[in-house]
Amino acid sequence: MRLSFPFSAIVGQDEMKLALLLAAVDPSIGGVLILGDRGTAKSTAVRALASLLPSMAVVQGCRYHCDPKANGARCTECHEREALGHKSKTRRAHVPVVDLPLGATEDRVAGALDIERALTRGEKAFEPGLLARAHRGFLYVDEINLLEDHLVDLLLDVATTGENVVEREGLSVRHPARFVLVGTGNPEEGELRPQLLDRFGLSVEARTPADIGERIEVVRRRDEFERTPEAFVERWRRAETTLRRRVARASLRVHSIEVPDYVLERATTLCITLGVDGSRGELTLLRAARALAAFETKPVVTMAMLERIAMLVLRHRLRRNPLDDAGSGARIERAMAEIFRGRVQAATSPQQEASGVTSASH
Amino acid sequence: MLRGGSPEARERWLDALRALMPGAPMRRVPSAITEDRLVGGLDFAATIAAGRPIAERGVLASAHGGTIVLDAGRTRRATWSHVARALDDGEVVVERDGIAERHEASFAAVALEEEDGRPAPAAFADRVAFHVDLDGESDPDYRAPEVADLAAARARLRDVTLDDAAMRALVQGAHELGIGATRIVLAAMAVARAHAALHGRTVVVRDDLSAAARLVLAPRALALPECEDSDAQDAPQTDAADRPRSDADAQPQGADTSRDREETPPSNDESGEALASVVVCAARAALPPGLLTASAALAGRREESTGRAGDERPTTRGRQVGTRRGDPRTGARLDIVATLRAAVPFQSMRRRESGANAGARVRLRADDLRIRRCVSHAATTTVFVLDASGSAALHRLAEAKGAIELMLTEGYARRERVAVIAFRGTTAELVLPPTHALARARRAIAALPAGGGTPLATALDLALVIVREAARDGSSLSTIILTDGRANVARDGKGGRGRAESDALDAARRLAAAGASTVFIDTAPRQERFAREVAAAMNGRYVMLPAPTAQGLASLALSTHAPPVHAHG
Repeated sequence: MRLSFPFSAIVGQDEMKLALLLAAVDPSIGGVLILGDRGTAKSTAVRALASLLPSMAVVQGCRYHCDPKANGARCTECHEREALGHKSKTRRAHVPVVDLPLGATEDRVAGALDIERALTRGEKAFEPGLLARAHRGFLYVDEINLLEDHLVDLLLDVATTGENVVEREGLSVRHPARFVLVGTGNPEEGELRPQLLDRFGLSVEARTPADIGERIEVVRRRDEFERTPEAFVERWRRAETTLRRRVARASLRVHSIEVPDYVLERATTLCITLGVDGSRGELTLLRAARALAAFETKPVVTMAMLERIAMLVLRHRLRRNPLDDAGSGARIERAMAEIFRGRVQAATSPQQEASGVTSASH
Repeated sequence: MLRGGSPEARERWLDALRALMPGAPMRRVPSAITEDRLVGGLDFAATIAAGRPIAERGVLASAHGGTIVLDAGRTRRATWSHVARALDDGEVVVERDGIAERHEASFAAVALEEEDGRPAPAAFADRVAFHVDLDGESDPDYRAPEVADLAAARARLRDVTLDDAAMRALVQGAHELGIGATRIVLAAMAVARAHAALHGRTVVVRDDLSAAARLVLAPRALALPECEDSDAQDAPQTDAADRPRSDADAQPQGADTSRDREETPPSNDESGEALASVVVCAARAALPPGLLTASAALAGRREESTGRAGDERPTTRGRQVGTRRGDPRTGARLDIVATLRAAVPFQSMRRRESGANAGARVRLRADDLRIRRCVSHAATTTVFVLDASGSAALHRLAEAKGAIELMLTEGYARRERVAVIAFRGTTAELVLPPTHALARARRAIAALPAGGGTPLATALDLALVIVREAARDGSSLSTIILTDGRANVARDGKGGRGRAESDALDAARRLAAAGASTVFIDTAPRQERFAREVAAAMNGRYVMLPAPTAQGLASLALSTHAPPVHAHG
């Protein structure tokens, strides 16, 4: 396995890093979409995320790495073992980050009949696919806007039910498949289907840095990494460890973060002003703000936090004219200015503003 | 990237490369290669024969330490993405058919591009350092470096340093040339280091930066800043021997050992600004006039190559409607149950034949294999052929544009692809190749200039090219022609109504013969006999623009699509 570029060593791209960290803190935020030009460290950031994720407890021997504590949401194999009176052992495992490569076939994604066993032993056995591997982890689709439509349908089905159902080749298998979907793509190459867009909790627009100094730093670090990967990773080990611990602590704390009523109210007003359909927008606003508070070791969500994550949560949820390529960013900015400004300054102390992810990740 | 040149010239280039890398593998990647042959997988025949799974290494892994060669025009999209991935990771991961293996796969990749063929996609082009154009003149005095010299350079490469000023110069230079991707700057740095090593240096100097600029940055420049460095004005004459267009520098190491030039001072003696202009000027000098627009156009076509091309095998996708006998290695999906079912009746016979040898419970033979027949919802493409001539401009070109916008909105909902052909003066132009990016289509149409004659025949000929391409892909396509039908420019670009009209009728008949589904939208204020004739000749539906509302037009356009279900296999 090649070493991956350390997350903390990524220059700039603060919005993208923040979105990924929030999703790592609270997977129920529901996935991150990163759109941007080629060469903006999109894939690097997603692959680097893997080493920041805390480990998890899994049932030993389970092909779907089920959670020993979640009784209802375990796979049939675990249930059968339990019914037979077998005590399941627990082991620690890394949270999986699974790549869904472009050109993957449906069998590989959903799982299919195990060809080897069918041919050599005449047995009908299920070979789990990428969805099974991604259960309780992250599923990463590079160039998601180029994904074949029937695979998009499959992802949507599974994302909605949290379960992968395979009914083919005489197989009838269902297994849990809950994962955080992370997609990257270049919007110039094709549009994303609205239904798929809806599945993402957060969205980010990654841009090539315009600042020469920043670009030089990007090139310098990348070059160092490619020439002496071990030394480079070693140099960033401490920063990585600190960040990993911070994510782990935040994910333990996230559910006890308080959300004051007035913040909730503002979130709702913001969604109504922007005409965001359904309640998913508000829910995600709250979850993301809570994850941010947890990450910054604050007990209560503030207005400033809501403001910092609003763009990430809402950008892709506005109903838009498909032919209007002006981003929805401007509309959100305007709505936020109307709703927040004035209050925000009063509600936040300068320290709070200063302790952003940027300062923490270096 | 090896562009242009005759097939023989390309082969000669590959031979030269092979000679420089003795002992290293060079593997061709056939255009129809299946995923399992590319990255490795189950060796089907061996597995059936042996009765146990036998893995085989793919082409990418077997090219480790050497070179792979791809044909840009015919390579499938899935192949590009695997190659790009291997170039990034230096390894391939096999995870299919019950096999999970990891193989080292560090290799150089060469893509052969025909001058007018489909270019390699941007995702690949960004990952290779050199873009070589074989159509340039070659240097008769060029001698390839000795293999021993290369080995020495390779050993030296580890110690070559590239200082901060040099790095800044390349970043700044790339920025001024309009190159954004970090990868390309990194490639330029690698080339500068290799160039230094090849010339016996362990420090990157000006000369190495110029070489990197010429070889890596120049072919991708999208902007041409002014060259302020008077010192570098001599670049063109001194460097004629190693322009990227010549055979000389087509060598992968940027080898120009034959050149005996005065050593330039090390870069750290100079300010970053001055060095950056060395980079810019070197790139400028390497660019022949007019190349910039060509490279911008090529970049656009690369983007298109990246998009969903209709080049995937239709039999592997969609809903299964049946099975047939066939070889799963061609990319089709094996239908296991049907295969076993086909084999079952012969089991006792085969067992008797082969004796009671151990292993396989099921005795399969190649002709038992069954593959799936699938139907897929083929991509639908709408081609707009828009008359932007002077007479059309007079007759509500704006309204025609508005109608197209509405149709585009409809198309967005249905996830269609669109293409736009515009014609005016003496030519027709594919303003936008088939794409899903409808916002781009809208921009392309809004920005269309108007004026000039009406070369209707030329436009219809171009539409026919697209129709034929779509037919090859198995995608459904409809052509919508918006014109006032006042054809007055013939195929050869000459004026004259008579020839122009007979050419247009001929082109329309060819469209009909190709089975194109067409709508002819007449934008003239009054109905004209000729417009109806053209519509009839192409077997198309004829509509007057004023008659339906724009909304009605949009639904009309959609209804012309052939039913989207196509059976394959």
